Amino acid sequence: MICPDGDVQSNPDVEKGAADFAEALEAAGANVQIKLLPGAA
Amino acid sequence: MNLTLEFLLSSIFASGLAPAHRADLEKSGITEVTRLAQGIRSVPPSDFHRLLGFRVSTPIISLMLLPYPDPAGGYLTMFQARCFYGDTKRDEPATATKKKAEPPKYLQPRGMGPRLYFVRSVLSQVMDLAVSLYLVEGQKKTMAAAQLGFAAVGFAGINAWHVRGSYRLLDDFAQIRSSGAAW
Repeated sequence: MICPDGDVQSNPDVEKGAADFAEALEAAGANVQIKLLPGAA
Repeated sequence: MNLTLEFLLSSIFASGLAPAHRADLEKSGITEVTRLAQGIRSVPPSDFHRLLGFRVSTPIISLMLLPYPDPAGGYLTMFQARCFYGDTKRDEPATATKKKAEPPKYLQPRGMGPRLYFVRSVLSQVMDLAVSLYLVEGQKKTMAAAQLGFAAVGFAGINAWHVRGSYRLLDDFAQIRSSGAAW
């Protein structure tokens, strides 16, 4: 589970960073979800 | 290890916390038990430049040290220092709408690459291949998630998960999930 900062919803650079991170983890064999923690939104 | 960091983390140095630093941690829900376990403490102003290896800009009035626990014990040479400016607006977390010229919220030793941030209280869960990992952006959020029992590991920014100059995962990931192991 990747839990980025809340600005992932409003900042394209952060959104891309989270997507790149997920892709790298998936390439390493992980089953990845991106989810905001309560209070991070 | 940086001698100043070694001294600040030693039992010789009292691991005290300035009121503003305590308030910052309390605002994030970080308990005193977690704070002590993670080695978080205030940095005396006289040690700012010795700790970081460069002089900090004068608007910074205090630094709170966030050492990086080593899963093998002790601490890594990597650390971050939360900056306080004596101006509550600057001390607030940056938002996407703010200009890039905003002063830094955290400082770290020059030239040091990113590392993962481990929380001692959930290390056994993090190392357990049967437990789902929570990779959390930001040290304080990572500690807060760990306090709730999640197997949380932190990264310091949305691009602080990979080796500089490539999209290869940090070597620290190999400590928690070897290649081919289930995530």
